[in-house]
Amino acid sequence: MNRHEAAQADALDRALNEPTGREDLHDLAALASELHRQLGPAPASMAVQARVERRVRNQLRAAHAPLRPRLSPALGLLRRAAIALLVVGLIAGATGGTALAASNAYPGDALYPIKLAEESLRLVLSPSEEGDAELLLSFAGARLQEATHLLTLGRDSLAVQTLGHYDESMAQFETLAPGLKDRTDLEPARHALGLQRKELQALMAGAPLSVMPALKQAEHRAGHAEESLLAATPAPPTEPPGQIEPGRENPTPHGQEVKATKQSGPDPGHGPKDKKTPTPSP
Amino acid sequence: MQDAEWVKRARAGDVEAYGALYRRYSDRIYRYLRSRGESEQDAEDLAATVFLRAFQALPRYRERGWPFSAFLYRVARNLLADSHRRPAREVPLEDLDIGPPSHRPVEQADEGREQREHLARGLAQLAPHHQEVIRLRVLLGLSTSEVAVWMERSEGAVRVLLYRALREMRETLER
Repeated sequence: MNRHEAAQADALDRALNEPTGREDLHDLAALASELHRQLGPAPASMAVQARVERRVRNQLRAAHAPLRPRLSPALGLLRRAAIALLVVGLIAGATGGTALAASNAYPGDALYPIKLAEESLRLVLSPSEEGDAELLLSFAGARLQEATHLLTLGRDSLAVQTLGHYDESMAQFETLAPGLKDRTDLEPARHALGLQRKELQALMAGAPLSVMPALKQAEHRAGHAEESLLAATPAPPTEPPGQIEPGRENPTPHGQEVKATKQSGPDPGHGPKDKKTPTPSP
Repeated sequence: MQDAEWVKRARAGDVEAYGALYRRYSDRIYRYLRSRGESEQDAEDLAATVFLRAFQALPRYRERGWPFSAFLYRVARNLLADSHRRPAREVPLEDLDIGPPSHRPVEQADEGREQREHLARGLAQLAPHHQEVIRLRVLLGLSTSEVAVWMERSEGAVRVLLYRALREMRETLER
């Protein structure tokens, strides 16, 4: 670098900031201006910035923030591990097909951790306690369905383990139940719980002795949760008594489709609204 | 509040403090990724990855009185290099962000597009460090002092680098 070049560079820098009338630098400054005008990237929109911030915050909170106090340590640890697995899965470029396959996985399957991780993430992203309760009840229903399947395959020890997870989800649901009484229509939840109790009672009828304690505990838990909801003061009904809530004409087994209607406020969380095909992320 | 204070809090696990850093620099990092030829969707994904990786690397971050943006820039560059994407010289024309939509007649829009492609081709033929200084100083409009910190050069060196880069660009376009 020679002194002349340095001087020209300094002058150009000043010219870029404000016009100096330097003829010898005019073309370079004009070129810079044209480059900026033609190729300069537009600022990120507010929507983009908000989306990215939400992703970063959620992943940081999942990895670093303390869990909600009402979760048991075991479930909390399970959730941390599940979220970590989900992140790993996203990094590896999990496809929509993988996610779909994971949703049908059972305990012992390779994709089952992804299913749990997805559930855990949905819980993290839930914006309200009503959403949490709905999700926990849904997850409990999924555990019950898995346990039933495992029992038909004779995989008793895994079934017992899965019933333990059912019990944990239901225990968490019970802690939320008192807060739901004044905020949501409890009938769908009561209905789901009733179905789950009946399913558990049916399972107990022909279950091996080794599974009975777990089934009894699960049935007791479901009954306790149902009673606590039955004792609640219901919210004013959204439709006249006797009418079936739209979409609830054919409830699925195990009460997995539970809709807690509310008088006002946002819908309960069903996962991120802007779900995209998973892309690599840390 | 200075970056150093936010970084200190973020290192202690304060996600909100890190959020402040994010809001301060997210647009800059996003636009940098776009200037490197990334699509809007990829730039969005990569921006999230940059900030997550930067957070994970905070224990190794050394406070040197520089803006946190310089650290983010290095993370972004490393991320782009790690992902084995297109070489620095290649700038996909169809992915270049050309700014706000134009309401000019079709003929003028076509001419504008030709000009953009011409400029983009010219930029792609420059040496990588010349491309980078034009990208940071001209396309992104960063100040010389910030470019100097990002590129780990003196301000004088950045000015000379830019001068040479624009001269090379002019010669390339005239060929």
